[in-house]
Amino acid sequence: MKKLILTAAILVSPLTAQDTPHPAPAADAALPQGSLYVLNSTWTDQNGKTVVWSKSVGTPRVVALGYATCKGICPRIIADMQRIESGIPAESKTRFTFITLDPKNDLQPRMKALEETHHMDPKRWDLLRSSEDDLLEMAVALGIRFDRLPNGVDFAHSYLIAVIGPDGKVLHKWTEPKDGAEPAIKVLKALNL
Amino acid sequence: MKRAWIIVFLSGSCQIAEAGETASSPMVAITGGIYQRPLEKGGKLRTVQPYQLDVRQTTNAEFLAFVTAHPEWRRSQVNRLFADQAYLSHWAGDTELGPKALPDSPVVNVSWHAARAFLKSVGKRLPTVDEWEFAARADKHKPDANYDPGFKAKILDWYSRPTPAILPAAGSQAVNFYGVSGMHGIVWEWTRDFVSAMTSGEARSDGTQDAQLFCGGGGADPNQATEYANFMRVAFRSSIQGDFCLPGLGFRGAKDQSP
Repeated sequence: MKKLILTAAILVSPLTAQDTPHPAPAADAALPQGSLYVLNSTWTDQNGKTVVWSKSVGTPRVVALGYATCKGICPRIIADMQRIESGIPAESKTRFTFITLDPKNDLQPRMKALEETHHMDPKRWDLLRSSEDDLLEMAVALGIRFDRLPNGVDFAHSYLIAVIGPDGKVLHKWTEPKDGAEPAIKVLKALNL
Repeated sequence: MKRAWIIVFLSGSCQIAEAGETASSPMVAITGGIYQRPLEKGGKLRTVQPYQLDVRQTTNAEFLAFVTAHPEWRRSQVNRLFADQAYLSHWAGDTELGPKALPDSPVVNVSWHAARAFLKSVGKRLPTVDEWEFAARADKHKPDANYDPGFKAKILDWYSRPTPAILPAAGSQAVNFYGVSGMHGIVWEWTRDFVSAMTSGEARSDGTQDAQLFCGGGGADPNQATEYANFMRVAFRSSIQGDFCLPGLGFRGAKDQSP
């Protein structure tokens, strides 16, 4: 929590590419300090389409990490994301983003099947996989904890649903299932996007 | 150029030094094997694949060369997503070490993201928790000294002492069984998957909070904390985030063992 506050304080004086003598990556240009959209990773969605993460600029995202065969908290996480979805206007640009912790096994057909199993709206949901390394970077940046269990199949991982603003700033973290979807819905409605 | 030659010489036949802009520690090959991760629930065994590990931590001088070549990693320019405001705070300036950061001392006040970026630039990566712990349980003569009370006592003695203002040189400690120096005794070190540590750092008998926050029944079991030195490391890893920069936390590199 303290870190979040400190990060927010830094945001008051954003350091932009103009301050640097060397050209920053293009997507970096107008982004505030701490923006998740500076991450330079490329993902594949449930339809096999490439998603360049930094091109998310302008789009709010609701992001969670889990894996397709998870029978523990993941179905709950997905259902909670759908609770957020049903609480915001149908015309919202917000994208619902489920990132797999298991890129080795959650290949495209499995991600597509996950979309169908949970009746995710294909117009709003991105089910993403990437390399282990890019996944780790994303998980660390979001502050999620996860570990592949010795059975080689399952993962231990935290409950986290993050609401990311159009500039990539984390606006809200839902970390306690009992807190409900309302705070996330409020943040997204206030964006009016 | 001279630096690159020295590294080729030191690391023998198993390692070709990167001829790029940044030098880094020589490495040793470690065969790997079966081991038990400290504090893992159920005491399951894990297999560590063959890997290479830096014989010492990355130094201030090496990190200086990196930020000189990569301005986006300088203290004044780093993105706050990647490093908090303590990043390289013991240096005299953006590209100046100063009296508190000796060139050969381990670089500290570096975040996980910064360590990762440095190692990428030299063709390496951070060691996994398992790779780190596998090498760290060796003493001078044995690959596994975890059950030696004297070994544990020495580590705990170090943990109880504050980090000195000026750190000794990386690699200045006697090497262990694998030829690796300073796994204990100078600084704590980043691991690639530190996010796998999930204890709250507090002993609980029922674990209800963990059950709520984590699925899969994983995470460390604080009730196995008979090995206090191990418990300290697990608790430490579970308490940090990737942007944290701390005065006693550095890193070394690793690599898959090429066949």
